[in-house]
Amino acid sequence: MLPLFFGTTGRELYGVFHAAVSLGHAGRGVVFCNPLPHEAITAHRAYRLLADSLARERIHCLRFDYLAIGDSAGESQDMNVAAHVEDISAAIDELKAFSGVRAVYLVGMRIGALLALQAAKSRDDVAGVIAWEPVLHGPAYRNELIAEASPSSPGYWDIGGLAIAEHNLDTVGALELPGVLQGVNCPVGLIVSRHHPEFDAIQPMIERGELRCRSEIVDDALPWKADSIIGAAPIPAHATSVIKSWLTSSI
Amino acid sequence: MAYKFDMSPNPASLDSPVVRERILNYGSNTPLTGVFTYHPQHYQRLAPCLVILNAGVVRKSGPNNLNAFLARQIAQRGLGVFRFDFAGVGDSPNRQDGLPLRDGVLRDVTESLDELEAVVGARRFVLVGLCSGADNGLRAARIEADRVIGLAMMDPTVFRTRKWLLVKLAKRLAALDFWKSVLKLRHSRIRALHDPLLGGPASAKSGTPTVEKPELYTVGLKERDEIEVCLREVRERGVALCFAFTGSWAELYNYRTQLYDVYPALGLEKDVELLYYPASSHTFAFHEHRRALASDLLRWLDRFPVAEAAPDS
Repeated sequence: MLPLFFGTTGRELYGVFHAAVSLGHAGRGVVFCNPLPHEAITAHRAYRLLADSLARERIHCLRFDYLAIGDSAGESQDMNVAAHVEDISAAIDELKAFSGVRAVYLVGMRIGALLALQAAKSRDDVAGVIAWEPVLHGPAYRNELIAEASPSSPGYWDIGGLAIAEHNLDTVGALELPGVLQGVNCPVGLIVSRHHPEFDAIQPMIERGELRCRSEIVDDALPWKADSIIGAAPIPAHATSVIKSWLTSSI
Repeated sequence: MAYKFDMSPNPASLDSPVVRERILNYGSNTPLTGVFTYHPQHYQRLAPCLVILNAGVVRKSGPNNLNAFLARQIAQRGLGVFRFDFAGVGDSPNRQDGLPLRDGVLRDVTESLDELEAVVGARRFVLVGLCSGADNGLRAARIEADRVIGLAMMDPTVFRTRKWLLVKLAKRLAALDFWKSVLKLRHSRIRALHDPLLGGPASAKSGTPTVEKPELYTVGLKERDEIEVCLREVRERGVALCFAFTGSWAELYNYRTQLYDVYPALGLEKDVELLYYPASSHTFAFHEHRRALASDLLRWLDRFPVAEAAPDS
């Protein structure tokens, strides 16, 4: 693992590069797109282990923090979900420049999946997107977050111990998977656990072919949902295996 | 390479709000990763360097970026601040030296201080930790007291006192909801018997599943006597102590001076900095609370004078 800062001065993003291990990488790279920060804390381990695993399959990987989140520049109160797509784009550029890969895939979890799809639409060099446990309906997700949150400072919600601004929830609430999928020209893979809170809605859509993407239903525990006390989630072995399989062949 | 981070202006800070951050990769047996934050114009190499420890299994940026925020705020005052991931946490790989975690955490702190001595020339350190990070900080300060001169502990392991119970009871009686419940006859005698606060048996039979915590949570300090011994020893060796407690810790700590009552034999009121944020969450999630914490820590850090340079340095 090689931690690094990238991006423009004053807006540096913190990333961790997992270099493909053997001589002659596969020419493929993966950028990981985080969910909202309270879920990213829990998903971090799954991402790290998956990136390590993919690197052993000769695939370069870059995990990173969006601006104003984690170790990237900026303060948490300045977090702006609407600008995360630009950060994903910067990460793609960095991975291509740094490692020389030509084909970049995006792996995004929860809202990160929808942001990855948006980024793919804005570029012509994304080879594929894996939407891992994506949010289906943004408005329902927004309501779910608020139901579990407690308001504190004006304009902010305490969500899982993290202060998230109201405008970010509005941004999230405007996203829906079917709509975001429209216009994506690269292959898309969808991975959904039976424990996904919207599984009952997603499964029929998959069966009816409404989402027009490759899909896999897994039995993993939710990789972004940790027990509030221990702050950790089980490793999603099934999904990890599927993602590796897709990325070592092609989506 | 240098990286600039634009910070919002802080009236208490130096003229330039710009700090820089550099990544350090180090570790003799297990690779460790950390970020060193400093002010390019005002960095005082001979001032103590702060080292922020992981809170549980949350990575080095801290919950809601708390560690990154503190690092950048404090670095604006000219101090170097380092935040890193213990082996197996965040971006540091799992242990490769075979050490048990309890010992491994201490090894990681020692290697971090060694690295900072070698790379940025720091000689004196202040450890900062939240929750289990505070407990690990106390253990580390005990073995590194030759170069650790200060320890700031936010919501460390602490114990209830008799006054805690009285305060808890008083707050419950003062709560409108409590009396509403009484009026609705929801507080039956049977319920009271099962309420541990009112003297009934604890709700151990409630069927609530017990959750096994990750090991990193449990390698700290758990026994009052053990903590008291540690506190006594580090104080005798000259380590200045700062404690901070939040309202989220109210189930353990619910009045400002409770710490003094927990360890009456230590006489902590004589020289310990005690901070109390009853409105704050455990992770200082809201900006006004973390700003207050940063401000109070900076005031406490003023007690450490910048060391004089040795003739050959």
